[in-house]
Amino acid sequence: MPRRTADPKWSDPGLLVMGSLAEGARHGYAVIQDVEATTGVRLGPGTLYGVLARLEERGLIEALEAADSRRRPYRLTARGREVLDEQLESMRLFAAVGQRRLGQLTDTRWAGA
Amino acid sequence: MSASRLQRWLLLAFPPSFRARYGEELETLTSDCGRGWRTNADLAQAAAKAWLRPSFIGPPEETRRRRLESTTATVFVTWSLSCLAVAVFAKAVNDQPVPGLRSWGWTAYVIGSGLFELTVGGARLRDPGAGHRRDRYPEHPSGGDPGRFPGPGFGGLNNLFRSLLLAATLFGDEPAALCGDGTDAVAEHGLSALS
Repeated sequence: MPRRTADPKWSDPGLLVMGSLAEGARHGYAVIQDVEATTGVRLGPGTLYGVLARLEERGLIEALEAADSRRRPYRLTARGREVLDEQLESMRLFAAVGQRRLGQLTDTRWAGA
Repeated sequence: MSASRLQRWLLLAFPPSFRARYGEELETLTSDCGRGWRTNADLAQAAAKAWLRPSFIGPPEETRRRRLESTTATVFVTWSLSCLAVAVFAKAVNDQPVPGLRSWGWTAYVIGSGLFELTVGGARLRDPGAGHRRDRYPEHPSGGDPGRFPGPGFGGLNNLFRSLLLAATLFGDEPAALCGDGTDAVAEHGLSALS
């Protein structure tokens, strides 16, 4: 079982790729386009395949058989879904706490003024 | 070198195990993404990472074999590069670019240091009031009094003096060469003059 520290972090291109694959199986070029459209981050081909190799090695994604072996689609595994869900949940909690604290700060400033 | 050839070389720079698994897909994606320095830089960076932190997929025996293969190849490449680096370093340090001057390595060091000193000295002379101590520590008891600590203007002259000293070191003859000449002179003339 992979260590917790080996799982992709929220700033990691791996998480962006997993987020793209959460919608369904995609090949490399479709992943690049989707990540760019949703996050504005343009992944290079080398970076993408480095990430795909790392995720596949950890059993978070798997390659599907395709007629054209040069455009093989990838999809999330059950373990990949679990890890992505955990990461997104921790991001949601972090965002909620951050926004609440920012709200308190703004209220305090207004009260002081 | 043409862009397509460079890209082919960059794709070949990935480890064999990586190419066996993802080579075709990566090549297709690279041609889809188009050529450009950004793609090339990305490929070079990814190839370096793939060597430093290889991924292996497959049954455990196959993974073990590939890992061993990759480790052996990495050690061999590192060893070869280090041998090359030692030779280049030795040449840079020992060879004289011009007779009477010191080696390339020494020359580069002295010129670099001299330029640095000149730049720093020039900047400090041009703006002598910009003492960092006064700016950073306004609460210091001296209050930035130039009488208590050497002022920044003096530092500028100091830098210029050091750059001149470095230039003198660079263009001066090597002591060894002087000794060699002297010995030769004694060998040629001194003994005959004594006799």
